[in-house]
Amino acid sequence: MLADKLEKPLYEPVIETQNLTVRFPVSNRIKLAYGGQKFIHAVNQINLEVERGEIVSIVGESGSGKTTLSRTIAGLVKPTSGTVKVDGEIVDYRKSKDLKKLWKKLQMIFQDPYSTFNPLTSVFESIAIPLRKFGISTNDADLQHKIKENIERVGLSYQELQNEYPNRLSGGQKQRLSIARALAVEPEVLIADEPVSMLDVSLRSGILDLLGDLNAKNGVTIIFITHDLAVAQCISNRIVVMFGGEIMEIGPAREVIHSPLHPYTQILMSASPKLTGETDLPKNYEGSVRKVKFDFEGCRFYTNCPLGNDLCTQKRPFLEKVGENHYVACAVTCCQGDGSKPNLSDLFKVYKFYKTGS
Amino acid sequence: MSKLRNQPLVEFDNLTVSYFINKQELRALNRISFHVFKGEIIGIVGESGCGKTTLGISLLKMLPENSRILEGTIKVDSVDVPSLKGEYLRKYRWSKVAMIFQSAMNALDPVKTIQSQMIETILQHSKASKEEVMNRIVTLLDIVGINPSRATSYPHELSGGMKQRVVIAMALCLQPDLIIADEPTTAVDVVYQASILRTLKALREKLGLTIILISHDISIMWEMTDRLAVMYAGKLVEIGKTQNIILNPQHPYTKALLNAVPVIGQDQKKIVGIPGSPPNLSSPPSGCRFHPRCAYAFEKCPTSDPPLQERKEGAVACWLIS
Repeated sequence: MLADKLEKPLYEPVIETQNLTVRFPVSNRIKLAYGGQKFIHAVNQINLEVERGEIVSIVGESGSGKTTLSRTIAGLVKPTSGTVKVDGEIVDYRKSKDLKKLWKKLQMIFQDPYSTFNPLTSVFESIAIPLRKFGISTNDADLQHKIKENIERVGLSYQELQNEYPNRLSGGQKQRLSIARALAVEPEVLIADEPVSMLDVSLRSGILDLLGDLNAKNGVTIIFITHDLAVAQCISNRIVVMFGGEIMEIGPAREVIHSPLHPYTQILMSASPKLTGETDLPKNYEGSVRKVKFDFEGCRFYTNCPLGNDLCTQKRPFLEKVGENHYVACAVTCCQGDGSKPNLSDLFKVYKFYKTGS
Repeated sequence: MSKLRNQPLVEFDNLTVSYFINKQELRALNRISFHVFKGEIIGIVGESGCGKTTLGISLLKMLPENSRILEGTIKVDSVDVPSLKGEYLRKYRWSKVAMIFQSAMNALDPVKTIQSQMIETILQHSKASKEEVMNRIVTLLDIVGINPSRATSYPHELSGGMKQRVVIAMALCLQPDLIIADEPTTAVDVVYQASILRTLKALREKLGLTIILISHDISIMWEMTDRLAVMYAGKLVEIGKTQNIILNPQHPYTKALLNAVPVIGQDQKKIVGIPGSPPNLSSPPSGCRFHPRCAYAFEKCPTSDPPLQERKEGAVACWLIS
């Protein structure tokens, strides 16, 4: 079954979003906190292609829309407008038939391993449910074989765990099992929503290695959501940086980490803890998506950006190509419009600016 | 400041705490001895279930009913904490030692403004006039970097990082000498994390506080702490100056923790997890408790438990070192 998947040509988009937008209404009571805006654009006009067999990380702080984007693709949130194509076919999220077909191809791992399992369902049963629902295993022997295979694939012992209940498991075991459960239906795409942020540091690398192995051996495409660029760098081929529901920067992981062009990417870089040395987040940076003005003509990041100028208020910056597969939406660092390449010494200035915070 | 740092504020001596669950003993702290000096920030790291939080709440005499201090003493400013009772205990808590709890995001009352929650805390413990109280609230919010005009906001009107800072301000309400911060940044995104840690650090400079920072993440320690204590399965395995420990870790467990942290910009470094999982404390492994997961274990490790040995810089409990 897996061999068939690998024979399909590599580098074709398995997921393609077109102008995907999700808006949430703001209730009257809390409208003031959002500056009187009626809607929050959690995801705004996102065009993203995910190629088969790659690991894409979506990075951004809380409230930047990364989770909403992934949940929309997975059919857990209804899009306000725009479309999602999976394997070249548009998914109609209103049809339960389409959803079932989607979930056969795409599964999700959730952030909190402690609340993702039904406490009254044994490990065996938790993994048996998707297998039965999607009609993968028809008889008991096959079911048992499949469950054993899946539990062992994530590095756990079937003998020990099959009859355990979730309360007897540690956080790391639970997160492994939730990966096993997602993999039970042999999906082509796995969406992992902050799978390691609730786990101890010592268990993180095990989960990251497991996801990396699944990608390398089984060709599973992974959309990995995280707030930490250091984690994203470890695992992904490409990094997408989001803020206020829009893509700020997208590019190969190495390039984004070593030459971040968007001011927001640089802020995320500076906030990431260094093992030896100080974090150099600008002193007055008050990361807050609540400051974002959604009816504003200009750049989403303008209200938070220490580099903003008049140009930024006039029009929304578009994603401009700055390198192989590397796109940045910033009018200041990318000289938008005249097609010239950004000057490296200018960038260094920007970086220095962030280090000193003045 | 340097003079002050030689005086111990907190003294743990041979502290042993057990929980009793279904008549089974679960030893959460095993002969912990160390001092916290005045004006320092000390970090305590270890995996879930290693006893870090038990250590923190034992300082406030908040251990749950099914636990018992089997041995040893806890002293804060030469006062024996476990013997405090009634009014003395009430005065000790919060005005001597305050704690920032793990899920600070949910620690605020959603139906009260942050101002009224702070007033309540202050008036419960002191007889200050309304004006004094308001002044203090303005100062405190200012210290933690929140515009005092937000004092009349409800918690839902604040961002996660701001809520956390309000919780820090509340811990400061009664001018404690010591603050215990229990995982103040777990499950908070990196931007908030950096700003919260910066706030905590500024407090030490401004108010001369002593801070115990509890976390499972060793990567935030360099910037924050002066000294670092590493715990494993209820025991102290290594303690010393933070820079020494991170640059030159002695105990294999500390080395493993350091290898598990991803560092931005270093793609050569492969992160390596610690094999296995933390031991069940009701039946811990014999000898050195880390030996089943340790890459350097030899014959002596499973048979006898290494004592914490003083060295030039800090102390280590490992047979390899002696």
